[in-house]
Amino acid sequence: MGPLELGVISLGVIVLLIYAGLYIPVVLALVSFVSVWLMRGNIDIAINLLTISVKDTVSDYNFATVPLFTMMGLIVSKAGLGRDVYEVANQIFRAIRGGLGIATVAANAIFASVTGSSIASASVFTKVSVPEMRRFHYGKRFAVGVVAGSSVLGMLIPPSVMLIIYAVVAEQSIGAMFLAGVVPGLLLATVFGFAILIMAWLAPRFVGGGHGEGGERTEPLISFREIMVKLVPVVLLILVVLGGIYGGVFTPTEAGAAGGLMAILIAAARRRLTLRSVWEALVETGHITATILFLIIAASTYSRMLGIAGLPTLFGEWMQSMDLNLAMMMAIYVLLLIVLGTILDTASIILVVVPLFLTAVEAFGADLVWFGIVTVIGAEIGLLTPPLGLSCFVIKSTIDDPSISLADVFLGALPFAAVMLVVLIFVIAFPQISLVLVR
Amino acid sequence: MPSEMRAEGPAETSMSGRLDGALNRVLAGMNAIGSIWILVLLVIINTDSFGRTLFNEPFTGVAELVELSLVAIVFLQLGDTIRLGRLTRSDGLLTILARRHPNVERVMRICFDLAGAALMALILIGAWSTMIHAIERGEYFGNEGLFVVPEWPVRVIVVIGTSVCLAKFLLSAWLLITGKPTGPARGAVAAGFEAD
Repeated sequence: MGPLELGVISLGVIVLLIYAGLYIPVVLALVSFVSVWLMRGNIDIAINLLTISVKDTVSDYNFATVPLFTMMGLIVSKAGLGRDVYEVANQIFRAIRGGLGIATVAANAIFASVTGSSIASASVFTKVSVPEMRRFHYGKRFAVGVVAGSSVLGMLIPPSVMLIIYAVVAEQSIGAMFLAGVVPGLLLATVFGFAILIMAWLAPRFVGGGHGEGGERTEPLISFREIMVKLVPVVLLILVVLGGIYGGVFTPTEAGAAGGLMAILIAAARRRLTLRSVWEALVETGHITATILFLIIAASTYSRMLGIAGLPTLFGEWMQSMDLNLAMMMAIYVLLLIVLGTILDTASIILVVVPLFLTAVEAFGADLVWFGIVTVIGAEIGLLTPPLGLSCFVIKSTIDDPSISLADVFLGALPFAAVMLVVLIFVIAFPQISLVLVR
Repeated sequence: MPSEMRAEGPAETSMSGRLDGALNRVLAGMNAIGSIWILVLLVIINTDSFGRTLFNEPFTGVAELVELSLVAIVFLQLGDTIRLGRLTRSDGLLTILARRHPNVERVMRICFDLAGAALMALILIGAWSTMIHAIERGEYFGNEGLFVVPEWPVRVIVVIGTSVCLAKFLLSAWLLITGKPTGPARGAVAAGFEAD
């Protein structure tokens, strides 16, 4: 058997073992190890592959962004910034039918600019906005669905850990990837908002909720001054982090460190921070960092294995020879992302699929920044679909209401997954949506 | 955080149970060191960038320190993520099997823990020689004359981290074989933090 056949078989074994439930980094590293051993007939080369991956992969200054942005997101969550933005958004949208849903989307879009992960968004807004929507008799599926759907904005609107992972894998600048996520993120949020309006009109029983009746819904909840107080910390963080990067003051890593420090100061100033909660945030940051970076280490053995087998090159030639145009290839790609999304989390999808497709996409002369945004949105659809919709699991495990089942969360999220797919098609068809701020 | 409480649990009387309890305390301790290290990174990166921007006095060698630190942090934290069942996996099939064929599920979990142990053993081989190499040759990071950090402490941490992961996987498999699983609750993934 030649290296090529071994490489193809390895891919099959990897999918099988992941589906069986073996730890994903263990699958990637172990299968790649065996595969390279067989290809080269020399175990030392295979051990060397692992050694180099462990030693060199995460020794990259840019990867410090992963713990730093994770920590910043966790601290602002604990400081209650999510609740603050939600209260403001609530004030603005509550006169509209479905307004609490739209407020959730808007608050998520803003909160996404100070946090790097969808998981943090999902857990914050499950606690903040689901009880509020339930109080006003919104449908339970809609209430959890809107939280699940809008939580994906966390990964698209910078800072975003997924955009960082893609940037490193595809050797793009983190700053460029962050910028490219802005317009698609805002577009997705806007389309979510209109989708809620349409749902409230077409399926009022699914959305539920009263509108305009009852005194407490029309009198202002919070004064203008309070609105300012609630928004200032978020604005400050955006200024420091994104302003710092694009003003040329900070590298992304420095922006992460400044943002983390700033988050601690804000939380302390609002007296919402105890030593205990900082410690919990740090421990959680450690777990998330280790999980992601170890996955990246394992994935680097995998992409080296693919390289040794010559798969990416062959794959590119094969795509060309089939007379596929870019649009057809992207259709296949998105389908693959969605299928993988049913068993893998977003980071794993990026790490497994991107090394395989990168050469082929480059051969078509497509823009790799654009390709990254497509990848992240496509993989994020998987966060909303069963059986492994991570956002949906987080919502189910955070929620206090036993009458809401996991199936309810998935069903509620379904319309939002459909909306994402539509937006993704637009992002693919019009690369300008992602590239307008970058190029 | 229900999964965090697992470290204590009811007093284990068996040898393997007590060993597991002791190992869990080591893992939690390493996690604490790694967590503090992240805070230290935050401080030195800020010191460097503010020092450079405001006083034109950069903190030399920050890039080298950060690069070495990341490897150390991963291997300090990895064991604890294994303990808490936070290592990424797709456990849909295992969850279904646990209900319908609990024995098949148990055998699969044992195999998976052993696969994890095998990977850690293989990483350990390379990490060990990297460490010996770094100590014997006095390898360092950075540019001589400007700023250098010795490489060996991080290489030692990688060896220790890989060893405890290996021990954790082996013990976890052994406890499953002898019928005293201490594995984390299913679905505990990514739900470990409180918000607001």
